[in-house]
Amino acid sequence: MNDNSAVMAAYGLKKAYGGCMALDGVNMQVRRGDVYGLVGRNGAGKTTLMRMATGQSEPTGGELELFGASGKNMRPQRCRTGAMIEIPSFSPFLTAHENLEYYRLQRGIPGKQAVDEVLELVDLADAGKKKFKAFSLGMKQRLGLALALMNHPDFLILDEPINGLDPKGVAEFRQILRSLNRERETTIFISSHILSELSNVATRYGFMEQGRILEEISAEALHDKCRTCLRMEVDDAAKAAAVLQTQLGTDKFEVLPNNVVQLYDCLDDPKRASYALAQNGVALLAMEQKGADLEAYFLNLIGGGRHA
Amino acid sequence: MLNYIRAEAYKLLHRPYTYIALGVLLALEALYASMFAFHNSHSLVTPFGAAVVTLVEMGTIGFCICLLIGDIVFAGQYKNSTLKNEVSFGLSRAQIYLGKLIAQTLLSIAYLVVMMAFFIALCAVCLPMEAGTFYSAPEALVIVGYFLAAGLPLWVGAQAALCMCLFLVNGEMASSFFYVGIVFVLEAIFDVAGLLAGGPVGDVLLTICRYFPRNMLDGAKAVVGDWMYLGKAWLVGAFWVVVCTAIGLYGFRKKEIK
Repeated sequence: MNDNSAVMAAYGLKKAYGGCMALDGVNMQVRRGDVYGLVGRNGAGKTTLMRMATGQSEPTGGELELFGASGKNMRPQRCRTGAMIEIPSFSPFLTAHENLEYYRLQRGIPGKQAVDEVLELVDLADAGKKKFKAFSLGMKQRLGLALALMNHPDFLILDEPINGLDPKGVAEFRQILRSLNRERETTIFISSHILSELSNVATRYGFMEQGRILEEISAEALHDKCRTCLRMEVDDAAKAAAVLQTQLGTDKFEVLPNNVVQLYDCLDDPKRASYALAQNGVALLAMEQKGADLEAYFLNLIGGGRHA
Repeated sequence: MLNYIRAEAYKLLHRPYTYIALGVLLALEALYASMFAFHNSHSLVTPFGAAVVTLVEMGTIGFCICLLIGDIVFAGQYKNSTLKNEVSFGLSRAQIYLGKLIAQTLLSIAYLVVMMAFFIALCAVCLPMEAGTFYSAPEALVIVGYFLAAGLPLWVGAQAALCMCLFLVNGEMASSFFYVGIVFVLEAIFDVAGLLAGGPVGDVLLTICRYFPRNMLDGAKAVVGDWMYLGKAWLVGAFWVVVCTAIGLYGFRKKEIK
């Protein structure tokens, strides 16, 4: 059950609020070094899962592990995490600097400069003396990120972190996440409704719907599944494959059941492929150009038509 | 735990509310002392001893100041949703709860010391020391000292009750009502129920009523110098701290943080 490479793992995790199942047997793993993008509609259970990971809520069933520890042993492991769940919350009557200094003292993080460094990192160095109540949503998000990063966490849990950020802020935020993941090897568990942005940083995805993880997939596998191709339905797939290899000199294709061939070559000139097949006696019954992005993939997965 | 208390101290020292509330209380004390000075200027002699000893009549105000202290320390943790920052870092619920209770107690003591010192100093400066037929200065200080020694554990017990309400009830206003209910109204209910029931049941109810902090503090006025009563006050205060903290910790342990 306990996988050492998993920073966070859920096994049949359940959470019920009255008669409503917010989480209904979630099984998932965030592995060391992942930027795990959690995708789901409003109310799918993303925030509930993250709140459980941060100890704000207790499961009603199943098991949750953090750095291999579960139950009461999980709490000390939370010192290795940084989290920003929902809207960042701070004392409104303290300045940004004072708020962070308060948490620095509380968490026993050595060095007063830790606060200045982290404010610098999130581009709030000039706003350090401003009271939190005067902050815009974007500034609050930045301050929330600053708190999450202050203890140099091994695992970062971020729930909708780019809400309210301006385009510059989004780009900077993406840069921060990338550098944390690459340079400090921080594992990141992030949810966002802005799927295009998520696809810029995530190395692995979990698709969530109605309190369950529908699918976990790596970014590479998702890219392969979503990449543009020519989907051809032929009368003889084996013969078609041979023609593609010999006549077009390509092996960038997949043979699927029901005599379907997906060709990842000749996308700019589909006539070449159809001509070669026809010339070699392969009947082309149907042909279409196909491809999807993360959003289309997710919508297709949950049954289409509804927004993430 | 030390880190938590240091952080709370930092927050309290950087919060204007801490100073404004103390300033208002000191201003009220100054007004009260100036009333005696005004009496003296109109031939109604109120010496230092007589003025200082009136503090023992104001013990109940201490229970009201608990509300103020609790509000300053708890600082709208539910309203501002800041508890999640503490829980998500792995601080235990017990650490958070006890840290707040200790911070509340320390701030209460600091307020008490400053307010007492200010009032006594003000009276010493503004009022005559000649006692006449009233309490002399040393006598008055002994009475007030005894009263404070008996009152301290009872106020801390009330702080524990308030802390329990603040952690278990969402919203400071609702918590305050619960606190008032526990410390003041419940006592009155036991009192009335005891009188109505009569007999052994009534005796039990009236006995319980006597061990409410406000009643214990009222009783201290009449028994200055009674060390048994002082010990009883400390036991009652400790009982309230232990019971309220146990209930508060148990409830807070499973509470959903939003």
